[in-house]
Amino acid sequence: MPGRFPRQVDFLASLSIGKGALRLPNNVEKMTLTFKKLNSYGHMGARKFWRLYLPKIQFHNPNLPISVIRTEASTEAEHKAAPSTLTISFKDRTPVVLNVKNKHSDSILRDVVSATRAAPVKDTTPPLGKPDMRIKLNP
Amino acid sequence: MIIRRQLSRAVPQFTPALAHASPSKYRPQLPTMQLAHPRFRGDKKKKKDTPSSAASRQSDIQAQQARTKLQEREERRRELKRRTDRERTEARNTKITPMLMDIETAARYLKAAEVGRPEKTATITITLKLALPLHFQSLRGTVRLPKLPQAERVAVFTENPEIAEAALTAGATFAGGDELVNQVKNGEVTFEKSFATPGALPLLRGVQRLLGPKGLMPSERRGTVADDVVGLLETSHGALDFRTRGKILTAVIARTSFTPTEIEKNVAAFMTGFRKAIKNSTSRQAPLVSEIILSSTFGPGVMVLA
Repeated sequence: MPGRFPRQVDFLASLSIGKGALRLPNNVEKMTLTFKKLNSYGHMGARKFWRLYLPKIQFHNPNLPISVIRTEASTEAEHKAAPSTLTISFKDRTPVVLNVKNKHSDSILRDVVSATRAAPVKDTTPPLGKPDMRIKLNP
Repeated sequence: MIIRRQLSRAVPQFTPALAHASPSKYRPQLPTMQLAHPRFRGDKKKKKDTPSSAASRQSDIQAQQARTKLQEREERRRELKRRTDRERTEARNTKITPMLMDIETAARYLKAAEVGRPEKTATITITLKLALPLHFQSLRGTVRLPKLPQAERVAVFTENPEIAEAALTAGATFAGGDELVNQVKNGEVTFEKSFATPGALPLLRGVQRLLGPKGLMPSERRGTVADDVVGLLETSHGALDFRTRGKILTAVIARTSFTPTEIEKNVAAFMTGFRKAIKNSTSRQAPLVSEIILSSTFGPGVMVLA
């Protein structure tokens, strides 16, 4: 088993670098992802997109409000009818609503890139910050 | 059965009845060395004690035991002292590890880990690991944060309707006398802080058992009972109370929905308040901060400098 620090670095890397690390342009105001709590009828891609790529998008756009709404469905008809969407609001134009039902998380990511013209971040190590070493914990 | 009988005829020591029989040509004697050893011979003679020598030996043993106990206690104390000294010298020199980061980056990681989680659970907690001096009791204090992590409901108990009205305008959620006490008794209202005027204290006796365990019972010792409740409200509303528990202090200081700058400001305010509380404390030696860790419900624990 790797030590404490390598494990921590792996965790931080999973939140910050790799596929899904995008820097969105300034005109993106808000993102809302809606999908069902159960995977059935094409809602799995949205869930995987949330787990795999949304943390990285949030990391590189820390001031962007991202919300995830997970809906409930009880009957078969409700399960089939439940929408799965990704809404991207812009400051200067009308919001884009992507239908992410029956889509793989990777293709949802491609849709986001093309809808927002986001630039991928090319870091290979998780940024660890540059703390000012002149500050002392016990002045 | 037949096989067994044949076997026992051939090798008599296999039959249980013959196992302890006298040595025969089938059952060899035990090794002589084993028998020669005094431990196995069983013929060791015990010395008989005279009453006086027994008593003196008893007191000797007791004295020895007392001495070792004292030594042990002394050793334990020395060990504790050594450990405390080591922790405190370590805390004085700021640790430089690869994982140490500035608050802004830490906040970005925590926000990333909590993305899409329900607003209610996504809180950011600060944990201070402290290097305490020997025999340190505890430290408590209050900090005013620039942005509160949760909306705070305050109840003000007073008999005077004018004061109640003034308290409501000053930011109290509930204010009143008998009716409010009844509502508390029936569990109709919940709040996170409470104040009272001295006149309302007799009313509160009925709900003492309800409020006491939650730490919500107003008392003069805590400074939550005063004639000037409005003044109390103004100084304490929106303030965060903290208290050390052992070597650790934890407090919820932000939500993941805050921006990194807001989180940074809250951490800075908390640390200034904490250092002020140390300065104001009466103990001879102050606790030292050895680590500051920011963490969230599902996120990593990140060591920061503040």
